[in-house]
Amino acid sequence: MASKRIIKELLDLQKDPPTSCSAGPRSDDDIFHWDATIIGPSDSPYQGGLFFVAIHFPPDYPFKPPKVNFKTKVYHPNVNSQGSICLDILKEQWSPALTISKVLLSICSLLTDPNPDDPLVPEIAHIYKTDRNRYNDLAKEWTRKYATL
Amino acid sequence: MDAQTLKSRGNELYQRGKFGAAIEAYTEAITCDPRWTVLYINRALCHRKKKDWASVKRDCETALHFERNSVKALYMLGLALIAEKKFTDAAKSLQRALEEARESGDMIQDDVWRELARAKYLEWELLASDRDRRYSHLENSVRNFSSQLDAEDVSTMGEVIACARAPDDRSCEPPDAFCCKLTFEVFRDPVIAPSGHSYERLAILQHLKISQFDPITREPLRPEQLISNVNLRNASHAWLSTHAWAFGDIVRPNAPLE
Repeated sequence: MASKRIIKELLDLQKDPPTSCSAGPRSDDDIFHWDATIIGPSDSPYQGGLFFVAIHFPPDYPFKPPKVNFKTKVYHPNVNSQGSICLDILKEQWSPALTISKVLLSICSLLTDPNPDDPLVPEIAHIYKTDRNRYNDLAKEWTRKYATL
Repeated sequence: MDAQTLKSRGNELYQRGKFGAAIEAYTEAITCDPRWTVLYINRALCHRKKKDWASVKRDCETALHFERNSVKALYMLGLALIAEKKFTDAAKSLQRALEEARESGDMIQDDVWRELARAKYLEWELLASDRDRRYSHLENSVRNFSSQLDAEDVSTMGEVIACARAPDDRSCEPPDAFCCKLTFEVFRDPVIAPSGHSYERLAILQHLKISQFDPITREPLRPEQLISNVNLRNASHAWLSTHAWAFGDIVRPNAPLE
């Protein structure tokens, strides 16, 4: 079932592509590994950045969530230096009615609205909560340095 | 040796992949007890492994003579008929297998459904390609005679042929209402949850083994709360029967028979 559903999601994405991201298999012979790109949301310090994301579908997808990691360095309370993302729907809040497209949109919203109360990087969460200007500057600087082509 | 001992030997040989020897054991068992249905079914299973579809068909027909509702015999007979390219008969046999399996809750349902979809798709493909050939032929004939027809007749003929071809239009998508939000496929056996949302039975049961909530509303959900949604099933199947090309979405029609 997994591969059929992944193929359908791919067709849906090609037919009706979301505005802020794109995604597709890394190679033709393995549809379980995808690469995606997310455009930094315009109302966030990530504006102007292009973020690469790796997606790995488990064999029992969609009953288990996909593994999603940033490949581009991101200065964000919920993304660590390995690119791991702390997002509830990728863990205990996963539902098989979700799709990769919805997951990518949730990651976009997470960029706009970090969740400092459930941080993966406590130092960034602390700066986000106490000194928003500094957080914005650092996030912008990282975006310019790592996420600009 | 008695039939029971010979059957056990056949089963053991089958497990070890020695299908030819298993066939011999079952054949001997049948001589001892020619009215024991399981022997024919088991021998058909061996013939199936050897892709000897004519023998599969013969054994399944005998089994069905003794036990007319045997799911396995109906299922394998369907496979043999697909191999013979008798898709309409194959679909009939598989449809009956599906109904029997549904009644007994047999897990073979999923395989039966996919083979039924394959038979229906191949049946459609055959009819569609024949229709296509005939329409193209007609179009050519009209073109050759166009000097004897007036311009309006030629264009009307074009319209008529286009209308006749329209029902085969594969570009349309199955309506969302007939597709499961988990499998993304047209419903085979939908169940409705207390939330009002329907899901493909096997998919929602697999989800509930991991998490006990409704995938769309996230309300708590237990397997015993699910009820067959017969109307949705009938509506989905009615849609499929008039859009048989959509079965191509459910199966890989040209995958080898197993």
